[in-house]
Amino acid sequence: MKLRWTKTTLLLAPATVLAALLFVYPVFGVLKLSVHDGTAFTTDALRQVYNSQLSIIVLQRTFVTAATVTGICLVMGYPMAYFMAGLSPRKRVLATYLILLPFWISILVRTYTWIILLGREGILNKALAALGLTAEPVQLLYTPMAVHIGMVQILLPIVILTCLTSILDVERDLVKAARSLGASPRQAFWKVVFPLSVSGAATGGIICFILCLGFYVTPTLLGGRTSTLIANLIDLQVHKTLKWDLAAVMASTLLAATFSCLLAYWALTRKRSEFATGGLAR
Amino acid sequence: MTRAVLTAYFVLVASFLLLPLFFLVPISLTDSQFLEFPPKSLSLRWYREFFVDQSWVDATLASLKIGVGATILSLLFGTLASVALVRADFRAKGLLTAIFIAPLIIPSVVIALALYIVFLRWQLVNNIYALTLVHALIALPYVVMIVSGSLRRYDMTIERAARVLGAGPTRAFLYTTLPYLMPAMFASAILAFFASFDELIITLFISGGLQTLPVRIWNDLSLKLDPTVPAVAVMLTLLSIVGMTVGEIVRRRNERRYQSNSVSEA
Amino acid sequence: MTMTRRAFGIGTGALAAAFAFKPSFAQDVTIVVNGSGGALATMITKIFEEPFTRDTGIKVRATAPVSLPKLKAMVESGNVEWDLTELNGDDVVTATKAGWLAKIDYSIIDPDNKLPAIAKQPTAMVRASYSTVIAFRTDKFGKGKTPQSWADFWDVKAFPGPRSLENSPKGNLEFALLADGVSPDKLYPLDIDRAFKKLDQLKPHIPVWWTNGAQHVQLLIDGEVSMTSCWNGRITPLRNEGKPVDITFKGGALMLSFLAIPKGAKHPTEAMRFMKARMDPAASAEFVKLVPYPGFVPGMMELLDPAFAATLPTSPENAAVQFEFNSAWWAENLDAVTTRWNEWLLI
Repeated sequence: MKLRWTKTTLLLAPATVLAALLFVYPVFGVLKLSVHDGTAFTTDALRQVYNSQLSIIVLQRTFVTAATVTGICLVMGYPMAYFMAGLSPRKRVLATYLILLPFWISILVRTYTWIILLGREGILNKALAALGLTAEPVQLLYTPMAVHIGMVQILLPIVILTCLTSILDVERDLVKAARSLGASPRQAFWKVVFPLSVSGAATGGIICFILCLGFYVTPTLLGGRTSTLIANLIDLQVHKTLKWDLAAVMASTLLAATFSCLLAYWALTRKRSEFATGGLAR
Repeated sequence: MTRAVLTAYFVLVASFLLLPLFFLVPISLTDSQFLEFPPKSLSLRWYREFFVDQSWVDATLASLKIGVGATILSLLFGTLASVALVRADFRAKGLLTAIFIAPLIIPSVVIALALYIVFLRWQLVNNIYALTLVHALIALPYVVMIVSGSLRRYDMTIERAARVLGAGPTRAFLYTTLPYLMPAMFASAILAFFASFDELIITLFISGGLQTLPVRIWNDLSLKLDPTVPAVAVMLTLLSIVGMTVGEIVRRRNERRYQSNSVSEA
Repeated sequence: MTMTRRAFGIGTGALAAAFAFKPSFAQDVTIVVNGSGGALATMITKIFEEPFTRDTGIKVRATAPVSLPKLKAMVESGNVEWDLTELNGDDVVTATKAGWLAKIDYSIIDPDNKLPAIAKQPTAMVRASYSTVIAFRTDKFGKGKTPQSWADFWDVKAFPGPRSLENSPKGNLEFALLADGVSPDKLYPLDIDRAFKKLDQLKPHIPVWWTNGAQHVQLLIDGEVSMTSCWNGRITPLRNEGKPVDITFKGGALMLSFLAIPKGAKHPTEAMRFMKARMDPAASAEFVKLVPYPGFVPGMMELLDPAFAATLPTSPENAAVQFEFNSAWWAENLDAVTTRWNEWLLI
């Protein structure tokens, strides 16, 4: 039962108009602003951003932070997923529910709790002092470490779930086959499950990496001066220095980075349609 | 042996994810004017404070209004679009799908900057209706992904049967397919609502003086000292848990009814 | 017939008299006044806006926040929403230079010429004055030992513990120079290199650079820092509640905040009448008791309790130990210094 084009157009119109007016047009405006000063094309803003040590360092920092956080999430998340894959379906649902629970709670609130925990007179420092482990309060808050902790806590559930989906896929079909051919559980894991689920984990990693690139709340609330990421710098250029063209160049760079990651993602998932949306759903 | 280690590891990581939130409860129940842990005496003072302070109530109402508006709009627009995306054949299908889902993937700050620039020109900063539309855009990806996913799994024979029995295409859709889509629409409505209810960065750029709940919390985090924020956080968390539980129940009921085999989508 | 006509005449006369009681000159005008919002806006509504509407019939709609980008976009697009906006000193200079502000007619605001000249700038009127001062914990440095100058603020041996400063070069360069021994009357033009060199010394002791309103208070109360630069109004209420915090005005930067009319505003005359209302001594005295940022309202100080007046930044004793923040220098140099500041801070 195929739809005729008039009906198709009508069905698509509201969402398309919404996306065109509030998404496509404005985003193209940003792209244009980065190379066009209102009267003519110019590479002024581009040159200013890429010749500035500050923007280069913050861009680098953003990518390094994103890579580090993604790495931590994968290393922490994969064993979690492996454990959950081995549970009975009932227990697995319960575990998934548990892992997803923080995912439903405002990022603002989750970040806020780390302020209470990591402060100089916060819960962790008080506990350390009470145990006699530290004489002086340790500076935990307003450090890059605090930002990493906050970001990992926010992103870990996504990575765990993408890893879980890919491990389950492999196990269902292949582990039985491997075992029936005489492989030990250890062999089955290292020779079958791990190599095959790695690509699934990688897709989770890419999503995590993309989300890291745009982080704003966590570095603002938990970071110190050297935790500023590109989103914060964009905010600074918009609201403090009023240099929108520079903000536009940075936003375009961020956009380009996101697209490159998406290309990698599509290359990895082209033949695995179940990932096309699965990992992104909350 | 490995199993035991893994179990311990699971408990450890799960508490890393969840534990910080437990500290909010005692802190929000303090009687002191400042954040303290453990609290010296318990009271509901800061919960009361929330309902007495007009700016908190206003912010909550604004968030609810925008959230409900954005949910209705995105659900309507998204469901209509999903029907076309799944059932029609046209060339720009891939592109349109990508555009509908993109607001979820593209960093918020890029969209925030882009909207701020055009909204200043269009005089839409500080406009609650414009903000609602923007939130509808943010929520749209969830609706499109979930509803079109569900629609793709739908067995067309039922609708065809309705057509054979003489129903027009619209009637057939309304009486057979729509009821099937209900649970998916409900699940995506919950996600859409929370996407709007939790949105901060874009709202921060384009809301002007208008405060939604996250913006109000954001302003308070650096403007005030009292434990209203933990109290609000606890209430929000409870709301989230209720939302998630309802969503999960509906999803499972749906799964049982239609024996879909998705692992855990919601 | 004549009877009716006379009766009619009397009737209209009475009606006209009744109307004369109600101010009929500004029916249905609403001016949009933009401010910083929050708790402050609530007080301004109660103390200034509501009485103003009662007296003149001009309604006031308050918006927020103060934003230079928004002002720029409004004036450049020709669609000006605000009739009046708050601005800080260097914003006034920037906006005036860019041509975003209308000229103010002081014959409306100050017909008797009572406002001091410093308050009356061509495109902006002083709304408030406040100080950025040193705030500190009284319980962290030993009994009776309190910082008395920016040199003490820089002295991490005598006054150990983390500190905070605002994430902005404004004020901080001055503080660094004062700490380095520059005398307050020789501050401007600022020796930028020397200031950054001095700031280098303190950089490792500043875990967090505050960005707004009362974040500094929170940092102080939470024990995140033992000393911070701070706006003068925030600490007194906390000290009164028994918190171990205090401020010193020594070395403080006396800053001004302004009200200005965007070029192309729809109701400039009504906006100026509201500016006049903001200069009412009794209402201002009421306001200052809640928000200790006085400005130069003539006749206001006399209405205040002398003990309270002494805690204000403009009281003679306090004004004497502070320096006057030079907005004009900053507007001239803000761009270059801000770029350098961001590179210095964020790398």
